[in-house]
Amino acid sequence: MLVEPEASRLWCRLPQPRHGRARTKEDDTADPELDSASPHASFEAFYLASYESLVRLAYILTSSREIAEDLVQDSFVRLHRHYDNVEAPDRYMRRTVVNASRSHFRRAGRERDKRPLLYVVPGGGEAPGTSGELNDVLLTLPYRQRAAVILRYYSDQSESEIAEILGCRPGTVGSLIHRGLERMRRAIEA
Amino acid sequence: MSVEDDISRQLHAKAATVRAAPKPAELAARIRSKELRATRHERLALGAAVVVLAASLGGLAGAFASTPRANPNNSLSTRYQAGGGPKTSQPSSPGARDAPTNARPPAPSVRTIIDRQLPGGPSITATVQSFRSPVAISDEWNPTAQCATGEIVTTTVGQGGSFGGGISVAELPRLAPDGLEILSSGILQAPGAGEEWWVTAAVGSRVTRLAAESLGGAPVTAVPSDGIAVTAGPVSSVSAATGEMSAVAEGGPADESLGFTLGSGPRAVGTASAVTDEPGCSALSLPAQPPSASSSQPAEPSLAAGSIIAAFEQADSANPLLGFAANLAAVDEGGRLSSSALPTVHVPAKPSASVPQSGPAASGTGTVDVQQVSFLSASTAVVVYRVNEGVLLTGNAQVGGSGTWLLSLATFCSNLRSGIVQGDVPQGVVMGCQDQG
Repeated sequence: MLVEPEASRLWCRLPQPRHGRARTKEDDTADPELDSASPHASFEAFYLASYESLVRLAYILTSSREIAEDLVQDSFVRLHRHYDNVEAPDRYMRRTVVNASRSHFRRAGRERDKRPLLYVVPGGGEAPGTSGELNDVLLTLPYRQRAAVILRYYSDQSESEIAEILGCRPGTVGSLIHRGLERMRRAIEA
Repeated sequence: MSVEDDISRQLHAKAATVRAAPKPAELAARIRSKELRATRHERLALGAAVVVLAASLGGLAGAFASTPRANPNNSLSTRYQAGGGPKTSQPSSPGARDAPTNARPPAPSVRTIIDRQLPGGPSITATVQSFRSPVAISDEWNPTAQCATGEIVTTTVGQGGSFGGGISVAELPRLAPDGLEILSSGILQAPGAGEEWWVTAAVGSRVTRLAAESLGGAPVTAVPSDGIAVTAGPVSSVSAATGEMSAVAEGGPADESLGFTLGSGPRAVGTASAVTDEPGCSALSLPAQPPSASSSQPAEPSLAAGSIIAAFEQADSANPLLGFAANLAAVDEGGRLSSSALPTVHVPAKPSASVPQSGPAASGTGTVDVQQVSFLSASTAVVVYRVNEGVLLTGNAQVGGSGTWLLSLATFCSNLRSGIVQGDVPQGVVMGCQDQG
């Protein structure tokens, strides 16, 4: 059995990440109000500060609030394991949520292949007050195009940041956004 | 207003409709659940590689010792020869010597249930061997041995002359009809072909297909045979960093899915074991690694084996003059664990580790007795050994960056967690090994 290092105490509500560097004095004295989503914030503080914004991002990607919350919670479980080794948890989480959403659609695709008559697009219902047209068109885009458009025009990420999240070259991101916008334009104008 | 502005406005409007409050209690429950699953997976996968089985020498040993060979190198052997299974029997544990000979069941047969070549990927072989009488199964996570019946599932994955694999125990009776259990998994480093993950799972009777995928990768499916499914696929850049995988058992009314971490196999084998005193159970060690259809080995196996023995002795023995840095020098990537800025912490011994609690061997530990070295490839080997005449352990050795044979980081950390390596250990090492958990 490993001896628990003195420097790493359990959080009051969430289990402590198992893996990590030693937390230093600098970590503990960082002002959580200045930047609770900074790498120096505790996992719990980062979770509380960033949960809603990540659910919103996942919601736009999946069009389902339930699925969005589920994916974000799962993504935090992944982050928890590596939190102390992650330099930029906000970037890590954005990437994890985008990848988790893609995995969700893959799983949904397998379900659909197996039970075509029972399959319903998860969360296909429209949120009140938003454009059903945009929603419909967004959901018809290939996932990478959709993610690129959303990260660019909702999350205001640069092409290089989107490239890091999607695991491709920045030039590819420009192409994805261009083709996504083109498809959306055509669909809206049709 | 441009289309881009319109899209941006509408996306923000859509997002603004969501009000989501954090749910820390639910998150905590998910985290505990995941840790429990990971522990269960490791228990099944790692434990099996070093399981001490009860009694009946005539059972498992009988089957594996069917082609015995003299051991020319002082208990060292290169067991994996082309076209053959293990060529030497395993050293028996003390419990095995005490087992009544008339209680031995007939030698069970080994059945090959999977033998196929993945398109553009590795070849996969899986065998199943039932043991009829109850045997004691224990591991680091469950030091009190349990008496159970089951099957030994042996997986061998090979590509480009490299081989990996694992031995696991699937308990009987079988899982629920829709059940899914990860038995073993690992990463195969095939020269010129990148890294491949592989996973062996036990599935219930209603499951018709196993789909597994690495985080950020594509799903790869396999059809189960006799309740066992093995599949493999390329390691994605994401999973290479995290080792995170998911598996889905398809076919039942509700698909059973499981998240797990790549861990067992050549990169992580080795833990402590214990023998039960329960009537009807006695002890015998499992074969350390699966028989391989074909395999390569170092050009000079005897020299390599000597280097491996030296590395194990250095890594697991006390070094009073040089301190713990000498231990780490014999561990592959051991430098990653070092942090001289941090104080030492006392790591107590576990009772199951069978290491003296006091005396000269109690810190940094004591004598290491390597009993067998089995080469999986020219740069990886499985080592069966004892520390301070304790129970048999199984560990991995590999050629490090400097070209010398070293104890694998996973084996060293497993020994640390098991209490094999104990005493005043630098805190950086303890924390570094937590990363390997």
